[in-house]
Amino acid sequence: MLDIADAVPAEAEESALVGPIRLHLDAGELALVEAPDADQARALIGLCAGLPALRSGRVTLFGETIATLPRRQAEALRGRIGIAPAADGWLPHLDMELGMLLACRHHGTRPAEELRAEAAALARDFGLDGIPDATPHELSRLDLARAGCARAFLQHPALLLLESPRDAESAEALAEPLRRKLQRALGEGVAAIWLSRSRLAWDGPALRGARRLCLSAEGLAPA
Amino acid sequence: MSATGAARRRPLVPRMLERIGAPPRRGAQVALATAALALGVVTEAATRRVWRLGTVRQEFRRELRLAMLGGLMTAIATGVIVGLGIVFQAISWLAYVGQEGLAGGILVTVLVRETAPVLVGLILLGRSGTVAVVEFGAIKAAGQLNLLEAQGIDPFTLLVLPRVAAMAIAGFALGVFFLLAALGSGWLAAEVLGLRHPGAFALAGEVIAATQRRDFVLFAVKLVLIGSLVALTSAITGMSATRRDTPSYLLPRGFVRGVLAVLLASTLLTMAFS
Repeated sequence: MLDIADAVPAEAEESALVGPIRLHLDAGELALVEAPDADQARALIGLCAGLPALRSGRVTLFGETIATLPRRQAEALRGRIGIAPAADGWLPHLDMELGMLLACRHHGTRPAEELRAEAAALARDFGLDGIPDATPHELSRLDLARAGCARAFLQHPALLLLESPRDAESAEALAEPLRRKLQRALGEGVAAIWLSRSRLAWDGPALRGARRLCLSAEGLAPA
Repeated sequence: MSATGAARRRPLVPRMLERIGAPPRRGAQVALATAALALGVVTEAATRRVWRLGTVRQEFRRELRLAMLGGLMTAIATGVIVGLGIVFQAISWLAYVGQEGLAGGILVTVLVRETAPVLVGLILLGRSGTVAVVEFGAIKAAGQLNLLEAQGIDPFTLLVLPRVAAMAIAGFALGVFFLLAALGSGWLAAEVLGLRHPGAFALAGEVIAATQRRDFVLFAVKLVLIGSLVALTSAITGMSATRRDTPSYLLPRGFVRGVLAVLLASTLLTMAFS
């Protein structure tokens, strides 16, 4: 699903990661990454999606070396990634419904009604009453994080890049529903990376078999 | 040694040259970026694939609605005021010297070719361009552009292209409303004050008769280009924001770039069509 082989970002001065980064994930595998630094966590998400130009190494996504693909093909591949960022991640001028369905509508042709129903069910799984009838700036950080998780799981992505909220309260509130959904998704062959500032979110039997890593500017090391 | 300390100890001449050269270099960068983005808009907008995307069409409708609804009343009000100023003045002074037949030609030169495009450009800049600067600035500062790309959504296709297309169309539409309001109010003022210009339709007829084909083309090209440039300069200003750039820093920068783009485009097109 994802293979990052000794990747070193080309613009090391501007990147929070100087590498080299190594990570290999097959279908159904989960990597739990302890990421104390928010910029490094965001940079790793970008690297997993094959965004930065690389000085050396390569990123292979779903069997394709992303740097060698034409732009549209690379975008289509990235459309199979579900991302839940720790904060932000919403276009301020779109309401929550449009924001949640944006990536799916951009890449797919599924009817909006079906997507809406699936998004509402996922939102309920993460503790919301349904798709929030509001704009992002009207919601609390926790509700935004809940909606972000629901959006990440929408339309069965092949790779999940999840980041726990940076504040402990929101991270704790989301941990249980995330573990539950993640376990099910892994069983269906989804590969996932879950970044968190603290290891507390990973407590519990559900994620016992997962690989545990620690992220620093120099790369990923076993935790 | 701190960075500031190191900068202070550098020789005076290179520091002075750096200070002198920085603004023109930044200006050239913005001009090149605008040209590159404009080329991207033209080539991408010509493909059907982009307009098949529901998300892009939705953004386009939203931007067009905002630009039109936000600017319509302002364009009409400004048109009325300009009409009272320019059209009425032209009619009254020409009536005074017995040269009423020249009204059409003067109004075409002053109003249609020059005033309307520039003022509509400034209205678009104030009502929609500044909003775009703040929105793009917030999106960039929050790292949202990278997140969109990570989800396989090209920010240029989703956010810039529909905005440029919408503001180009809105520019032309607002220009037409502005012109109608200016001609109407000028004629009305002349009627009320008893300058006895021979009717509204006669004034419109004179303006149309004095308008050559290239004036029609110039009017349309100016408004479409100015609308596009306002959107492009706003997008570039917002997208080049860093986390430190607050709206109080971005807005003046976006405003100045927008004004310069509007005036430059208007002047160059006038010269090209002369």
